Amino acid sequence: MSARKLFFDFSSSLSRIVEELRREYEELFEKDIDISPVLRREIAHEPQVEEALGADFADETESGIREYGFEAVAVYVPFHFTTDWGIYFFKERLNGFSYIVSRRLNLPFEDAFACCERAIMEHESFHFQAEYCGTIAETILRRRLYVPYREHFKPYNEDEEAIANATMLTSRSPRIRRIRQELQSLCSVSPPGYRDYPKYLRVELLWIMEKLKDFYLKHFWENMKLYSSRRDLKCQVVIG
Amino acid sequence: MSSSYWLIPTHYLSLIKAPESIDALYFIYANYRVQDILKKLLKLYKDDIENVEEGVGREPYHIRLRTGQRIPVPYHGTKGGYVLAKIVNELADALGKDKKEVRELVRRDP
Repeated sequence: MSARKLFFDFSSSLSRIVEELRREYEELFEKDIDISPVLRREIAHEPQVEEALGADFADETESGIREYGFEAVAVYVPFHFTTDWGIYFFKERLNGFSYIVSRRLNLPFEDAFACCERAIMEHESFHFQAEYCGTIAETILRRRLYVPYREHFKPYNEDEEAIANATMLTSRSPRIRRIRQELQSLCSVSPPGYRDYPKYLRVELLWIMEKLKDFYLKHFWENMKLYSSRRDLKCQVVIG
Repeated sequence: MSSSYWLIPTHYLSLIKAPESIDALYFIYANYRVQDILKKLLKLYKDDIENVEEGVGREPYHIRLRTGQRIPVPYHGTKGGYVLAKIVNELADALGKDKKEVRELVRRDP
């Protein structure tokens, strides 16, 4: 066991917070969404770096990105929907994406893999950040905001995807900086929303405070009336 | 988030072992429910599906095909998750179509 684990196990810290939130604010979370035991059995916790696999899946990955943006490589499953929340990477697609990047930028495959994994992690982390912000608003107001927000913007919110891409591109991580040029060209061929990341950039920097504040205000505070359902009102009456 | 992104649970899935996992997770990510998927299927396969009828008890819905075949949907309309991929697979089997193609079509439908 590593020394860090003896100190504090960071790997499960957010999971524990989420468990507590689910227990304390039961009415804010969904119960009926289930990840199959079949899928749960297939989960690995370590990436597999395989160049040959990447070569086989490079074309499929590129067409996937054109059609679904970076959600073709990994998906963020929100903790409002299931206890099996987190970032799900698809091994073949991640290797395929790394293969594309390594060929185009002439990088060793292992390096490209580390850079691509970090970039996707940054994109998907923004979805977590948005959900986390929604949760803070929910716990203060004691009413459902995140689930109705996702209900309103099916299948995805274009602004959220654009900011997620902008966050990824402007990351200070040296790994992301190394492949930024290629990430940018893949973002530009992605579907609407994913390709609109320049809206959130100014001189290649994210408009962090202004634009993010606008996004959260617009989606979690100002639009509360828009999302409110009978269930929310009932919850508000009982508590308030 | 940049310094703490690694506190989020990360999972790695093989598409070769479970090909429907990407569609199942995408359906969860997009917050689709049984009723959304049934609407999509009805829209996409209106030549093959006669109607989606509501039932009672343990079978809240069933899909009636033009051939007369009946596919039971034993899930509540607000249920989401992996069962959505299962419903699509069952319909693809009944219509004799490729499961992966049908799932792709449902995924692509806005």
